[in-house]
Amino acid sequence: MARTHVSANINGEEVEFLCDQDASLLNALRDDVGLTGVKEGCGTGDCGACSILLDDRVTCSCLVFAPEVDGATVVTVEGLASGGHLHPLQQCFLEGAALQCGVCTPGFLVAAKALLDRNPDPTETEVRYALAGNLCRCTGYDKIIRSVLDAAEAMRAGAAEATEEGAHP
Amino acid sequence: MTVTDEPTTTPGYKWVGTRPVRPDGLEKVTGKARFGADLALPGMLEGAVLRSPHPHARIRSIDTAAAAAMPASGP
Amino acid sequence: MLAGSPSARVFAGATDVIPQLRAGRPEPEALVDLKGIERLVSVGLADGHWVIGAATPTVRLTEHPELAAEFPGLVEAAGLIGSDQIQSRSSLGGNLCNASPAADSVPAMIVNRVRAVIASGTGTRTVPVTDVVTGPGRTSLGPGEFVVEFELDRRPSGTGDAYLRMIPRTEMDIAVVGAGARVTIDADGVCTAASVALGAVAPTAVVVDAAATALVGATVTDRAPGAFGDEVLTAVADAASAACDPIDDKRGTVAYRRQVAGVLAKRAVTAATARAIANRTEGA
Repeated sequence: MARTHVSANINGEEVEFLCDQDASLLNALRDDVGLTGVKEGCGTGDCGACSILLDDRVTCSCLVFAPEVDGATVVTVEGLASGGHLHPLQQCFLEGAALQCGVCTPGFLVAAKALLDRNPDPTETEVRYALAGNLCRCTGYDKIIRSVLDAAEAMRAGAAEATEEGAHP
Repeated sequence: MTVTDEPTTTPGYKWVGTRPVRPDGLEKVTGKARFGADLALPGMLEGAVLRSPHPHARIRSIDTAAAAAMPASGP
Repeated sequence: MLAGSPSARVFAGATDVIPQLRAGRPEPEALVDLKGIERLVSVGLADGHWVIGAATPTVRLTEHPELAAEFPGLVEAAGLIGSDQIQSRSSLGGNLCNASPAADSVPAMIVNRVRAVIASGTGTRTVPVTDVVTGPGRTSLGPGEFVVEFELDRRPSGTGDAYLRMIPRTEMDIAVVGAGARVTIDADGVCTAASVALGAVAPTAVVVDAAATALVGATVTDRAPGAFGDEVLTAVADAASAACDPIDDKRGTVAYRRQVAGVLAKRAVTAATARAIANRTEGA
Protein backbone atom coordinates (compact mmCIF):
# COMPACT_ATOMS: atom_id res chain seq x y z
CA MET A 1 0.00 0.00 0.00
CA ALA A 2 1.16 3.50 -0.75
CA ARG A 3 2.63 5.27 2.24
CA THR A 4 1.14 8.61 3.17
CA HIS A 5 3.22 11.65 4.03
CA VAL A 6 2.11 13.43 7.20
CA SER A 7 3.53 16.57 8.77
CA ALA A 8 2.46 17.61 12.23
CA ASN A 9 3.70 19.49 15.24
CA ILE A 10 4.56 16.77 17.73
CA ASN A 11 5.73 17.78 21.21
CA GLY A 12 6.63 21.25 19.96
CA GLU A 13 8.63 20.14 16.93
CA GLU A 14 7.61 20.07 13.29
CA VAL A 15 7.78 16.39 12.39
CA GLU A 16 7.28 14.66 9.06
CA PHE A 17 6.66 10.95 8.78
CA LEU A 18 5.43 8.30 6.38
CA CYS A 19 2.71 5.90 7.45
CA ASP A 20 0.25 3.42 5.99
CA GLN A 21 -3.00 5.11 4.95
CA ASP A 22 -5.08 3.12 7.40
CA ALA A 23 -2.49 3.14 10.21
CA SER A 24 -3.69 4.25 13.61
CA LEU A 25 -2.02 7.32 15.04
CA LEU A 26 -0.92 5.08 17.92
CA ASN A 27 1.06 2.79 15.61
CA ALA A 28 2.44 5.70 13.60
CA LEU A 29 3.65 7.47 16.76
CA ARG A 30 5.25 4.30 18.11
CA ASP A 31 6.66 2.75 14.93
CA ASP A 32 7.23 5.66 12.54
CA VAL A 33 7.97 8.55 14.92
CA GLY A 34 9.60 6.48 17.68
CA LEU A 35 7.50 7.78 20.55
CA THR A 36 7.04 4.50 22.42
CA GLY A 37 5.85 6.28 25.57
CA VAL A 38 2.41 6.08 23.95
CA LYS A 39 1.15 2.65 25.01
CA GLU A 40 -1.35 0.27 23.50
CA GLY A 41 -3.67 -1.34 26.00
CA CYS A 42 -6.92 -2.35 24.33
CA GLY A 43 -6.80 -0.74 20.90
CA THR A 44 -10.51 0.04 21.13
CA GLY A 45 -10.69 3.27 23.12
CA ASP A 46 -11.60 1.71 26.45
CA CYS A 47 -8.37 1.87 28.47
CA GLY A 48 -6.81 5.27 27.71
CA ALA A 49 -3.20 4.02 27.73
CA CYS A 50 -2.66 5.59 24.29
CA SER A 51 -4.05 9.02 25.32
CA ILE A 52 -2.53 12.01 23.58
CA LEU A 53 -3.50 15.64 23.16
CA LEU A 54 -4.68 16.30 19.60
CA ASP A 55 -5.07 20.05 19.09
CA ASP A 56 -5.31 20.35 22.91
CA ARG A 57 -8.08 17.74 23.22
CA VAL A 58 -7.41 14.46 25.01
CA THR A 59 -7.94 11.61 22.56
CA CYS A 60 -7.21 7.91 22.25
CA SER A 61 -4.54 7.71 19.56
CA CYS A 62 -5.68 4.15 18.76
CA LEU A 63 -8.96 5.62 17.46
CA VAL A 64 -7.36 8.19 15.17
CA PHE A 65 -6.18 7.45 11.64
CA ALA A 66 -2.61 8.74 11.39
CA PRO A 67 -3.19 10.78 8.19
CA GLU A 68 -5.84 12.77 10.08
CA VAL A 69 -3.18 14.62 12.08
CA ASP A 70 -1.61 16.27 9.04
CA GLY A 71 -1.22 19.90 10.06
CA ALA A 72 -2.36 19.23 13.64
CA THR A 73 -0.65 19.58 17.01
CA VAL A 74 0.04 16.43 18.99
CA VAL A 75 1.38 16.15 22.54
CA THR A 76 2.45 12.82 24.02
CA VAL A 77 3.86 11.96 27.45
CA GLU A 78 7.33 12.63 26.02
CA GLY A 79 6.30 16.28 25.57
CA LEU A 80 5.22 16.97 29.15
CA ALA A 81 8.62 17.72 30.69
CA SER A 82 10.20 20.92 29.43
CA GLY A 83 13.78 22.14 29.58
CA GLY A 84 14.86 19.25 31.77
CA HIS A 85 12.14 19.95 34.33
CA LEU A 86 9.45 17.40 35.03
CA HIS A 87 5.86 18.59 34.70
CA PRO A 88 4.32 18.95 38.20
CA LEU A 89 2.09 15.98 37.37
CA GLN A 90 5.12 13.81 36.66
CA GLN A 91 6.79 14.99 39.87
CA CYS A 92 3.68 14.30 41.94
CA PHE A 93 3.13 10.86 40.35
CA LEU A 94 6.72 9.98 41.31
CA GLU A 95 6.49 11.28 44.86
CA GLY A 96 2.97 10.00 45.40
CA ALA A 97 3.86 6.49 44.19
CA ALA A 98 1.09 6.78 41.61
CA LEU A 99 2.60 4.14 39.36
CA GLN A 100 3.80 0.59 39.47
CA CYS A 101 4.18 -1.21 36.15
CA GLY A 102 3.92 2.10 34.33
CA VAL A 103 1.93 1.09 31.26
CA CYS A 104 -1.13 3.20 32.10
CA THR A 105 0.98 6.08 33.45
CA PRO A 106 1.57 8.00 30.19
CA GLY A 107 -2.16 7.99 29.44
CA PHE A 108 -3.08 9.10 32.95
CA LEU A 109 -0.53 11.93 32.83
CA VAL A 110 -1.81 13.21 29.48
CA ALA A 111 -5.50 12.96 30.50
CA ALA A 112 -4.72 14.71 33.80
CA LYS A 113 -2.89 17.47 31.94
CA ALA A 114 -5.94 17.98 29.72
CA LEU A 115 -8.06 18.34 32.86
CA LEU A 116 -5.73 20.78 34.65
CA ASP A 117 -5.30 22.87 31.50
CA ARG A 118 -9.02 23.65 31.50
CA ASN A 119 -9.71 23.36 35.22
CA PRO A 120 -6.79 24.29 37.48
CA ASP A 121 -8.76 23.62 40.68
CA PRO A 122 -10.75 20.40 40.21
CA THR A 123 -12.58 18.58 42.97
CA GLU A 124 -11.79 14.93 43.63
CA THR A 125 -15.04 13.99 41.86
CA GLU A 126 -14.07 16.04 38.81
CA VAL A 127 -10.68 14.30 38.71
CA ARG A 128 -12.34 10.90 38.94
CA TYR A 129 -14.72 11.68 36.07
CA ALA A 130 -11.95 13.18 33.94
CA LEU A 131 -9.86 10.03 34.39
CA ALA A 132 -12.74 7.59 33.92
CA GLY A 133 -11.41 6.79 30.46
CA ASN A 134 -8.10 5.57 31.86
CA LEU A 135 -7.74 2.11 33.36
CA CYS A 136 -5.05 1.06 35.85
CA ARG A 137 -4.78 -2.59 36.79
CA CYS A 138 -2.05 -2.51 39.45
CA THR A 139 -1.50 0.75 41.32
CA GLY A 140 -5.12 1.49 42.11
CA TYR A 141 -6.76 4.80 41.51
CA ASP A 142 -6.45 6.44 44.91
CA LYS A 143 -2.78 7.39 44.66
CA ILE A 144 -3.28 8.56 41.09
CA ILE A 145 -6.21 10.82 42.04
CA ARG A 146 -4.30 12.21 45.02
CA SER A 147 -1.24 12.90 42.90
CA VAL A 148 -3.33 14.82 40.36
CA LEU A 149 -4.87 16.90 43.15
CA ASP A 150 -1.37 17.52 44.60
CA ALA A 151 -0.09 18.60 41.19
CA ALA A 152 -3.04 20.94 40.73
CA GLU A 153 -2.26 22.54 44.08
CA ALA A 154 1.43 22.86 43.23
CA MET A 155 0.60 24.43 39.88
CA ARG A 156 -1.80 26.93 41.45
CA ALA A 157 0.84 27.87 44.01
CA GLY A 158 3.38 28.27 41.21
CA ALA A 159 1.01 30.45 39.19
CA ALA A 160 0.24 32.64 42.24
CA GLU A 161 3.95 33.08 42.89
CA ALA A 162 4.56 34.05 39.28
CA THR A 163 1.76 36.64 39.46
CA GLU A 164 3.19 38.10 42.66
CA GLU A 165 6.64 38.39 41.17
CA GLY A 166 5.12 40.14 38.19
CA ALA A 167 3.30 42.58 40.48
CA HIS A 168 6.51 43.56 42.36
CA PRO A 169 9.22 44.01 39.79
CA MET B 1 -8.78 4.36 61.95
CA THR B 2 -6.38 7.28 62.10
CA VAL B 3 -4.60 8.15 58.92
CA THR B 4 -1.49 10.26 59.10
CA ASP B 5 0.07 11.95 56.14
CA GLU B 6 3.63 11.41 57.25
CA PRO B 7 4.91 7.83 57.46
CA THR B 8 6.48 7.06 60.81
CA THR B 9 10.10 6.10 60.52
CA THR B 10 10.95 3.17 62.70
CA PRO B 11 14.41 3.61 64.28
CA GLY B 12 16.87 0.93 63.36
CA TYR B 13 15.42 0.20 59.90
CA LYS B 14 16.78 1.50 56.66
CA TRP B 15 13.67 1.27 54.46
CA VAL B 16 10.72 0.23 56.60
CA GLY B 17 8.50 3.24 57.18
CA THR B 18 10.09 5.36 54.45
CA ARG B 19 8.49 6.36 51.16
CA PRO B 20 11.16 5.90 48.52
CA VAL B 21 10.70 6.99 44.93
CA ARG B 22 10.69 4.00 42.58
CA PRO B 23 14.10 3.44 40.99
CA ASP B 24 12.45 3.13 37.56
CA GLY B 25 9.89 5.88 38.23
CA LEU B 26 11.60 8.70 36.31
CA GLU B 27 11.80 6.66 33.10
CA LYS B 28 8.17 5.64 33.46
CA VAL B 29 6.71 9.13 34.02
CA THR B 30 8.66 10.56 31.10
CA GLY B 31 7.72 7.79 28.67
CA LYS B 32 11.37 6.78 28.25
CA ALA B 33 11.03 3.39 29.91
CA ARG B 34 11.45 0.58 27.39
CA PHE B 35 8.99 -2.27 27.75
CA GLY B 36 9.28 -5.41 25.64
CA ALA B 37 6.84 -4.14 23.05
CA ASP B 38 8.78 -0.87 22.76
CA LEU B 39 11.97 -2.47 21.46
CA ALA B 40 12.83 -2.66 17.78
CA LEU B 41 16.05 -4.50 16.93
CA PRO B 42 17.61 -5.27 13.55
CA GLY B 43 16.27 -8.50 12.10
CA MET B 44 13.71 -8.82 14.85
CA LEU B 45 11.03 -11.42 14.32
CA GLU B 46 7.48 -10.57 15.21
CA GLY B 47 4.82 -12.90 16.49
CA ALA B 48 1.10 -12.58 16.76
CA VAL B 49 -1.35 -14.44 18.97
CA LEU B 50 -4.66 -15.53 17.53
CA ARG B 51 -7.16 -15.69 20.36
CA SER B 52 -10.46 -17.49 20.27
CA PRO B 53 -13.39 -15.13 19.86
CA HIS B 54 -15.48 -17.61 21.90
CA PRO B 55 -14.98 -18.52 25.54
CA HIS B 56 -15.07 -22.27 26.33
CA ALA B 57 -15.08 -23.40 22.71
CA ARG B 58 -13.39 -26.41 21.12
CA ILE B 59 -10.82 -25.63 18.40
CA ARG B 60 -11.63 -27.75 15.36
CA SER B 61 -9.09 -26.23 13.00
CA ILE B 62 -7.15 -23.04 12.39
CA ASP B 63 -6.67 -21.68 8.89
CA THR B 64 -3.05 -20.55 8.78
CA ALA B 65 -2.91 -19.89 5.05
CA ALA B 66 -2.89 -16.09 5.35
CA ALA B 67 -0.13 -16.21 7.97
CA ALA B 68 1.96 -18.70 5.99
CA ALA B 69 1.69 -16.50 2.93
CA MET B 70 3.47 -13.62 4.69
CA PRO B 71 7.13 -13.16 3.77
CA ALA B 72 9.59 -15.12 5.93
CA SER B 73 6.88 -16.59 8.06
CA GLY B 74 7.56 -19.66 10.18
CA PRO B 75 5.70 -21.79 12.65
CA MET C 1 -16.80 9.73 -4.77
CA LEU C 2 -19.16 7.83 -2.45
CA ALA C 3 -21.50 7.10 -5.35
CA GLY C 4 -18.70 5.46 -7.33
CA SER C 5 -17.53 3.28 -4.48
CA PRO C 6 -20.29 1.17 -2.94
CA SER C 7 -18.31 -0.04 0.05
CA ALA C 8 -16.84 3.36 0.93
CA ARG C 9 -17.64 4.52 4.45
CA VAL C 10 -17.72 7.99 5.86
CA PHE C 11 -16.49 8.60 9.40
CA ALA C 12 -16.42 11.43 11.89
CA GLY C 13 -14.57 10.46 15.06
CA ALA C 14 -14.00 6.84 14.00
CA THR C 15 -14.56 5.68 17.59
CA ASP C 16 -16.88 2.95 16.30
CA VAL C 17 -15.35 2.40 12.86
CA ILE C 18 -11.83 1.53 14.03
CA PRO C 19 -12.89 -1.05 16.65
CA GLN C 20 -15.25 -2.58 14.06
CA LEU C 21 -12.43 -2.90 11.53
CA ARG C 22 -10.19 -4.42 14.19
CA ALA C 23 -12.91 -6.88 15.06
CA GLY C 24 -12.85 -8.13 11.49
CA ARG C 25 -15.60 -6.22 9.67
CA PRO C 26 -14.80 -6.15 5.96
CA GLU C 27 -12.45 -3.34 4.99
CA PRO C 28 -14.23 -0.62 3.05
CA GLU C 29 -12.76 0.37 -0.28
CA ALA C 30 -12.34 3.90 1.01
CA LEU C 31 -12.74 5.69 4.31
CA VAL C 32 -13.80 9.31 4.01
CA ASP C 33 -13.06 11.73 6.85
CA LEU C 34 -15.91 14.23 7.14
CA LYS C 35 -14.21 16.54 9.63
CA GLY C 36 -12.48 18.51 6.91
CA ILE C 37 -15.85 19.98 5.87
CA GLU C 38 -16.52 23.06 7.99
CA ARG C 39 -20.30 22.69 7.78
CA LEU C 40 -20.07 19.26 9.38
CA VAL C 41 -18.14 20.45 12.43
CA SER C 42 -19.96 23.63 13.41
CA VAL C 43 -22.72 24.55 15.85
CA GLY C 44 -24.86 27.65 15.54
CA LEU C 45 -28.15 29.33 14.80
CA ALA C 46 -29.34 29.73 11.23
CA ASP C 47 -32.76 30.89 10.03
CA GLY C 48 -34.09 30.78 13.58
CA HIS C 49 -33.12 27.18 14.37
CA TRP C 50 -30.06 25.40 15.68
CA VAL C 51 -27.83 23.64 13.18
CA ILE C 52 -25.37 21.07 14.53
CA GLY C 53 -22.82 19.61 12.12
CA ALA C 54 -23.11 15.82 12.12
CA ALA C 55 -19.39 15.30 12.79
CA THR C 56 -19.02 17.97 15.49
CA PRO C 57 -17.20 16.44 18.49
CA THR C 58 -19.67 16.12 21.37
CA VAL C 59 -17.29 17.95 23.71
CA ARG C 60 -18.08 21.06 21.66
CA LEU C 61 -21.76 20.63 22.48
CA THR C 62 -21.18 20.26 26.24
CA GLU C 63 -18.93 23.31 26.10
CA HIS C 64 -21.53 25.37 24.22
CA PRO C 65 -23.22 27.52 26.89
CA GLU C 66 -26.23 28.63 24.83
CA LEU C 67 -27.03 25.19 23.42
CA ALA C 68 -26.56 23.57 26.86
CA ALA C 69 -28.88 26.16 28.44
CA GLU C 70 -31.61 25.66 25.87
CA PHE C 71 -31.39 21.87 25.52
CA PRO C 72 -29.76 20.57 28.71
CA GLY C 73 -31.15 17.06 28.20
CA LEU C 74 -29.79 16.73 24.67
CA VAL C 75 -26.39 18.07 25.69
CA GLU C 76 -26.21 15.79 28.76
CA ALA C 77 -27.06 12.79 26.58
CA ALA C 78 -24.33 13.74 24.10
CA GLY C 79 -21.93 14.17 27.06
CA LEU C 80 -22.59 10.62 28.24
CA ILE C 81 -21.00 9.06 25.16
CA GLY C 82 -17.79 7.51 26.50
CA SER C 83 -14.88 9.09 28.31
CA ASP C 84 -13.29 12.52 27.84
CA GLN C 85 -11.04 10.82 25.28
CA ILE C 86 -14.09 9.65 23.32
CA GLN C 87 -15.91 12.97 23.76
CA SER C 88 -13.14 14.67 21.77
CA ARG C 89 -14.15 12.52 18.78
CA SER C 90 -17.70 11.24 19.18
CA SER C 91 -20.48 13.02 17.28
CA LEU C 92 -24.26 13.06 17.00
CA GLY C 93 -23.99 11.87 13.40
CA GLY C 94 -21.80 8.94 14.36
CA ASN C 95 -23.87 8.06 17.41
CA LEU C 96 -27.03 7.98 15.27
CA CYS C 97 -25.65 6.23 12.17
CA ASN C 98 -23.70 3.58 14.08
CA ALA C 99 -27.27 2.53 14.88
CA SER C 100 -26.63 1.00 18.29
CA PRO C 101 -29.95 0.46 20.07
CA ALA C 102 -28.26 1.90 23.19
CA ALA C 103 -26.98 5.15 21.61
CA ASP C 104 -27.42 7.81 24.30
CA SER C 105 -28.03 10.86 22.14
CA VAL C 106 -30.81 9.31 20.06
CA PRO C 107 -33.76 9.36 22.53
CA ALA C 108 -32.77 12.92 23.45
CA MET C 109 -32.73 13.93 19.77
CA ILE C 110 -36.09 12.24 19.19
CA VAL C 111 -37.92 14.02 22.03
CA ASN C 112 -36.56 17.32 20.72
CA ARG C 113 -37.85 16.47 17.21
CA VAL C 114 -34.39 16.83 15.70
CA ARG C 115 -34.23 16.56 11.91
CA ALA C 116 -31.37 14.96 10.00
CA VAL C 117 -30.20 16.60 6.79
CA ILE C 118 -28.98 13.81 4.51
CA ALA C 119 -26.78 14.53 1.51
CA SER C 120 -25.88 12.50 -1.54
CA GLY C 121 -24.41 13.21 -4.92
CA THR C 122 -27.80 14.37 -6.14
CA GLY C 123 -28.85 16.76 -3.37
CA THR C 124 -30.14 16.76 0.18
CA ARG C 125 -33.25 15.56 1.96
CA THR C 126 -34.39 16.27 5.51
CA VAL C 127 -36.04 13.61 7.67
CA PRO C 128 -36.93 13.22 11.36
CA VAL C 129 -34.18 11.35 13.24
CA THR C 130 -36.70 8.59 13.94
CA ASP C 131 -36.56 7.71 10.23
CA VAL C 132 -32.80 7.10 10.12
CA VAL C 133 -32.22 3.97 12.22
CA THR C 134 -34.04 0.82 11.08
CA GLY C 135 -32.40 -1.82 13.26
CA PRO C 136 -29.18 -2.66 15.13
CA GLY C 137 -26.36 -1.47 12.86
CA ARG C 138 -28.80 -0.67 10.04
CA THR C 139 -29.99 2.67 8.71
CA SER C 140 -32.28 3.92 5.96
CA LEU C 141 -29.37 5.75 4.31
CA GLY C 142 -28.96 4.78 0.69
CA PRO C 143 -25.63 4.15 -1.05
CA GLY C 144 -23.63 7.37 -1.19
CA GLU C 145 -25.80 9.11 1.40
CA PHE C 146 -24.63 10.49 4.71
CA VAL C 147 -25.94 12.81 7.41
CA VAL C 148 -24.56 16.32 7.02
CA GLU C 149 -26.15 18.15 9.91
CA PHE C 150 -29.01 18.22 12.37
CA GLU C 151 -31.69 20.88 12.62
CA LEU C 152 -33.33 21.69 15.90
CA ASP C 153 -36.13 24.25 16.37
CA ARG C 154 -35.75 26.78 19.19
CA ARG C 155 -37.59 25.64 22.27
CA PRO C 156 -40.97 27.25 22.92
CA SER C 157 -41.38 29.07 26.25
CA GLY C 158 -42.09 26.70 29.13
CA THR C 159 -40.21 23.78 27.61
CA GLY C 160 -37.69 21.49 29.26
CA ASP C 161 -35.90 18.30 28.23
CA ALA C 162 -34.00 15.60 30.10
CA TYR C 163 -32.17 12.36 29.42
CA LEU C 164 -31.37 9.75 32.04
CA ARG C 165 -29.35 6.59 31.63
CA MET C 166 -29.16 3.49 33.79
CA ILE C 167 -25.77 1.78 33.86
CA PRO C 168 -24.45 -0.53 36.60
CA ARG C 169 -21.40 1.67 37.14
CA THR C 170 -20.81 5.41 37.26
CA GLU C 171 -19.07 5.95 33.94
CA MET C 172 -17.88 4.20 30.82
CA ASP C 173 -20.67 1.76 30.15
CA ILE C 174 -23.44 1.11 27.66
CA ALA C 175 -27.00 1.98 28.64
CA VAL C 176 -29.14 -0.78 30.17
CA VAL C 177 -32.00 1.65 29.62
CA GLY C 178 -31.97 5.28 28.47
CA ALA C 179 -34.95 7.61 28.74
CA GLY C 180 -35.45 11.00 27.14
CA ALA C 181 -38.35 13.31 27.88
CA ARG C 182 -39.50 16.76 26.86
CA VAL C 183 -42.54 18.66 28.10
CA THR C 184 -44.05 22.09 27.55
CA ILE C 185 -46.03 23.61 30.42
CA ASP C 186 -48.23 26.68 29.93
CA ALA C 187 -48.91 29.53 32.36
CA ASP C 188 -51.74 27.58 34.04
CA GLY C 189 -49.49 24.59 34.70
CA VAL C 190 -51.10 22.53 31.96
CA CYS C 191 -48.92 20.33 29.78
CA THR C 192 -49.46 21.36 26.17
CA ALA C 193 -46.88 19.13 24.50
CA ALA C 194 -44.88 16.08 25.59
CA SER C 195 -42.61 13.45 24.17
CA VAL C 196 -40.95 10.40 25.75
CA ALA C 197 -38.44 8.12 24.03
CA LEU C 198 -36.48 5.10 25.27
CA GLY C 199 -33.13 3.64 24.28
CA ALA C 200 -31.62 0.14 24.72
CA VAL C 201 -35.00 -1.55 25.19
CA ALA C 202 -35.74 -2.51 21.56
CA PRO C 203 -33.89 -2.90 18.22
CA THR C 204 -34.25 0.87 17.72
CA ALA C 205 -35.10 3.76 20.02
CA VAL C 206 -38.80 3.67 20.96
CA VAL C 207 -41.16 6.62 20.97
CA VAL C 208 -43.70 6.16 23.78
CA ASP C 209 -46.81 7.81 22.38
CA ALA C 210 -49.02 6.59 25.24
CA ALA C 211 -46.82 8.44 27.73
CA ALA C 212 -47.21 11.65 25.73
CA THR C 213 -50.97 11.14 25.66
CA ALA C 214 -51.02 10.72 29.46
CA LEU C 215 -49.07 13.96 29.90
CA VAL C 216 -50.77 16.31 27.47
CA GLY C 217 -53.66 18.07 29.22
CA ALA C 218 -52.44 17.08 32.70
CA THR C 219 -51.76 19.83 35.22
CA VAL C 220 -48.68 20.05 37.43
CA THR C 221 -49.21 20.13 41.19
CA ASP C 222 -48.50 23.27 43.20
CA ARG C 223 -45.74 21.54 45.15
CA ALA C 224 -42.45 23.32 44.31
CA PRO C 225 -40.71 22.98 41.93
CA GLY C 226 -43.89 21.60 40.34
CA ALA C 227 -44.35 18.09 39.09
CA PHE C 228 -47.06 15.83 37.78
CA GLY C 229 -49.07 13.86 40.30
CA ASP C 230 -48.52 10.18 40.99
CA GLU C 231 -51.43 9.13 38.82
CA VAL C 232 -49.98 10.80 35.70
CA LEU C 233 -46.47 9.57 36.44
CA THR C 234 -47.68 6.02 36.98
CA ALA C 235 -49.40 6.18 33.60
CA VAL C 236 -46.10 7.37 32.05
CA ALA C 237 -44.18 4.54 33.70
CA ASP C 238 -46.71 1.90 32.66
CA ALA C 239 -46.70 3.21 29.10
CA ALA C 240 -42.90 3.12 28.98
CA SER C 241 -42.74 -0.43 30.36
CA ALA C 242 -45.35 -1.57 27.87
CA ALA C 243 -43.55 0.03 24.92
CA CYS C 244 -40.35 -1.95 25.57
CA ASP C 245 -39.28 -4.91 23.48
CA PRO C 246 -35.99 -5.63 25.21
CA ILE C 247 -33.49 -8.47 25.11
CA ASP C 248 -31.86 -10.49 27.90
CA ASP C 249 -28.14 -9.91 28.04
CA LYS C 250 -25.33 -9.56 30.55
CA ARG C 251 -26.45 -5.99 31.32
CA GLY C 252 -29.99 -6.88 32.28
CA THR C 253 -32.95 -9.19 31.83
CA VAL C 254 -36.13 -8.41 29.94
CA ALA C 255 -38.12 -7.98 33.15
CA TYR C 256 -35.47 -5.74 34.69
CA ARG C 257 -35.25 -3.53 31.60
CA ARG C 258 -39.03 -3.17 31.49
CA GLN C 259 -39.21 -2.07 35.10
CA VAL C 260 -36.24 0.29 34.85
CA ALA C 261 -37.68 1.82 31.66
CA GLY C 262 -40.80 2.80 33.60
CA VAL C 263 -38.86 4.28 36.50
CA LEU C 264 -36.44 6.18 34.27
CA ALA C 265 -39.22 7.55 32.04
CA LYS C 266 -40.99 8.87 35.12
CA ARG C 267 -37.82 10.48 36.46
CA ALA C 268 -36.92 11.96 33.07
CA VAL C 269 -40.39 13.50 32.81
CA THR C 270 -40.04 14.95 36.31
CA ALA C 271 -36.61 16.42 35.51
CA ALA C 272 -37.90 17.86 32.21
CA THR C 273 -40.93 19.32 34.01
CA ALA C 274 -38.79 21.17 36.55
CA ARG C 275 -36.78 22.63 33.69
CA ALA C 276 -39.92 23.55 31.76
CA ILE C 277 -41.30 25.44 34.74
CA ALA C 278 -37.99 27.21 35.31
CA ASN C 279 -37.92 28.14 31.62
CA ARG C 280 -41.51 29.46 31.82
CA THR C 281 -40.51 31.77 34.70
CA GLU C 282 -37.40 32.92 32.83
CA GLY C 283 -39.50 33.69 29.79
CA ALA C 284 -42.20 35.60 31.74
